[in-house]
Amino acid sequence: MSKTWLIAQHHFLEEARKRTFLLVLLALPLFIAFAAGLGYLFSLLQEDHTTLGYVGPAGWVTDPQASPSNPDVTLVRFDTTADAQQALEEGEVDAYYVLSASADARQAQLIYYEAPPYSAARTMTDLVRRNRMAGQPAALVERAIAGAHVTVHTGESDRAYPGGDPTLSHFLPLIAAGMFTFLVITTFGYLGEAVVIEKESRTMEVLVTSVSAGQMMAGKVLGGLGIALLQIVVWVACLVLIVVLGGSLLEIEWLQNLDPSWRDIAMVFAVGLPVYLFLAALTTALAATLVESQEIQQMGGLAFLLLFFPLYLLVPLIQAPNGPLALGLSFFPFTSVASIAGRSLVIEVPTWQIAVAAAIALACGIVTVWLAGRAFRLSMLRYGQRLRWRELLPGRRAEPS
Amino acid sequence: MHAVEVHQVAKRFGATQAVADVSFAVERGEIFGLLGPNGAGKTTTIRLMLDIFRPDRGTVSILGGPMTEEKKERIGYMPEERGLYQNIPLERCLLYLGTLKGLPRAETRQRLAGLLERFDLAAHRGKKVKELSKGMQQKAQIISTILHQPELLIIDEPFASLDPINARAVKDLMRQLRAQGTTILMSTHQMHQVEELCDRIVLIDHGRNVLYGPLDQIQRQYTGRKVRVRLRGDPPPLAGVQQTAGGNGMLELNLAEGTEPQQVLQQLVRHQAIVEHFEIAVPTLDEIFIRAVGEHPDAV
Repeated sequence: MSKTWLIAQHHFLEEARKRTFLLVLLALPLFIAFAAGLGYLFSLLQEDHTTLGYVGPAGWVTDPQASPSNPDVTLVRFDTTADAQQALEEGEVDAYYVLSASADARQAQLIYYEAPPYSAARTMTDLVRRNRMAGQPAALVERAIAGAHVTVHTGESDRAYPGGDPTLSHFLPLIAAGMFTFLVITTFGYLGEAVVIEKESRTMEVLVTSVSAGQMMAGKVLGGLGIALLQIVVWVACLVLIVVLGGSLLEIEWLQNLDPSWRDIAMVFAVGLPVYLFLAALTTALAATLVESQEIQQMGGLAFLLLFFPLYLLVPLIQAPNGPLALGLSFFPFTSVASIAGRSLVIEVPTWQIAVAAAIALACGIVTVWLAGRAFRLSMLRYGQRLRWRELLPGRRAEPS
Repeated sequence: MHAVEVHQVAKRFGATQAVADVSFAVERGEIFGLLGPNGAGKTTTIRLMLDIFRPDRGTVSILGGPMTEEKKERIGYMPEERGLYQNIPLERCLLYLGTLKGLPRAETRQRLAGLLERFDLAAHRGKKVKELSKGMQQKAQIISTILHQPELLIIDEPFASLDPINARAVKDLMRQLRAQGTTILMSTHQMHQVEELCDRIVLIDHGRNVLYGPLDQIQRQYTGRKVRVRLRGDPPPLAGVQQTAGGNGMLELNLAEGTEPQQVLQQLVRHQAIVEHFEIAVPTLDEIFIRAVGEHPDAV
């Protein structure tokens, strides 16, 4: 096994064995499952069996069974308003409709002490509509019952929302960007700590006489990548499980009929990979200049703010997705992934912008890898002493260790 | 071919000249002492040898040429600042460091079991390194340095934190390794250990060579400056004797420049002193160290 892989394996296993890692690994899916479960439970509690009465002359409802059965709604016909009122007062019905004498008048009164749920009212409406259209072709009836199909098109591009609002499918790139950000934060802490601890424990000096600096850095980054991939796999698997369970078994509507835009998701990865390289190298360079592992945690907080910065500006980004702010944030490696994912809610981000963002991140990544190597070599044996950034410039001589 | 050849190396860090001009060669199969006071440039010289730092001037040849990645597997290095992962179990830590030296995992495990037994650490293999005493950590560090059976061993202060029993065990190990053909370069402040173990030494101060050569030859260079005598009665006045000290009836006579021990003996005989004991004192390495360093206060 090559030494790079040995180092990667060591760091991967050491991190994976930590209890805190298991906590981080399961925290996000558990949180999503908890939130989804709570929402579902809440909707269950909200739902209640409703009994609706109606009073009306013949012609309004000729076939009480015409409406597709809704097990939560029972419809009861009364001959007189007094009967219906008595039933309401005695709690036998939750509300009742008084239909006008003539079906052509198209008027109905709803009498209640507490408004019935919308779904129950909709059942009554559908029943009346179906009765009124009795004798028409079934397809025509179904189309009429379905009502208007509203598709919202954004002004900036051809992005469309057939349901009128963005669905979970539209939010998937943003969710992918969020996952990416969490991964970067995790990697930031993990990689930084690995470097600082090896400096603190003086292990660095032993390691550099066994492997090259390149092997050591590549091994660490690969170990971190392995941890990140494990997190991605677990998170995506949990997400799929939540979608399948929520959509099929629990019939949660917004988890059904997902139609993700693979282009947008691929776009997040296309920009995310070079950004990951850049941030991993930057983390190593930063860690090499630091003295204590606590400092890297503070830096992690700062990185978190930077990476999530576009989400604070989501409203202006959506309002002007091709404006200078949106373009600037999309090309700045720290904010590019979240910005591009945020903009993809309302526009199809042009391919050239994705290519430019990826190229800038890659260029920054290459420069930072070089910088990290230099920082690493200059500072690895500098115990308890901070490396100054100006010392990293070519031609500068390191201070005594 | 020498195991190590350091030729006129120099290294500066900012305003500090850590190494100014150091040269020496380590022969294969010997124990070589790299000595010097604190801040003399020993650690920097070792780091230059190991290619951790690049010299500003001069050349280093190790195992027949410049340092390569392949040669790292033939060298064992124990730095002065011990470097083991503190938060992982001892056995896992040593296994990892052993495999980084190119050893297959199964072989590393097998060798490690023997060494842990030899150094009385077998019962502590599952403990985290930070839970071990300083002496145990020191022994663990030595194990990690020799686990891959290196051709060249570079060890900085190997006896620090060791009790006399463990210090003896380490000395025995070093003699055993030398007998097996391992070249050992040792840096230490414990001069009696150097006297016991080293074949040759280099003493550096302020980044420059001060003494270099076989230990017995160096001791002979400094011999003749002091004689020990026991006389019956008071000593007569002696020309060429700078200072007299002593106790328990034994006198130590420090001789002035140009005075030979034989001249002192002739004077004693001439004065009809009754000489019970006359010995040309071979200076300890401690004394040589202090004198040599004292003679070069401004070496840079």
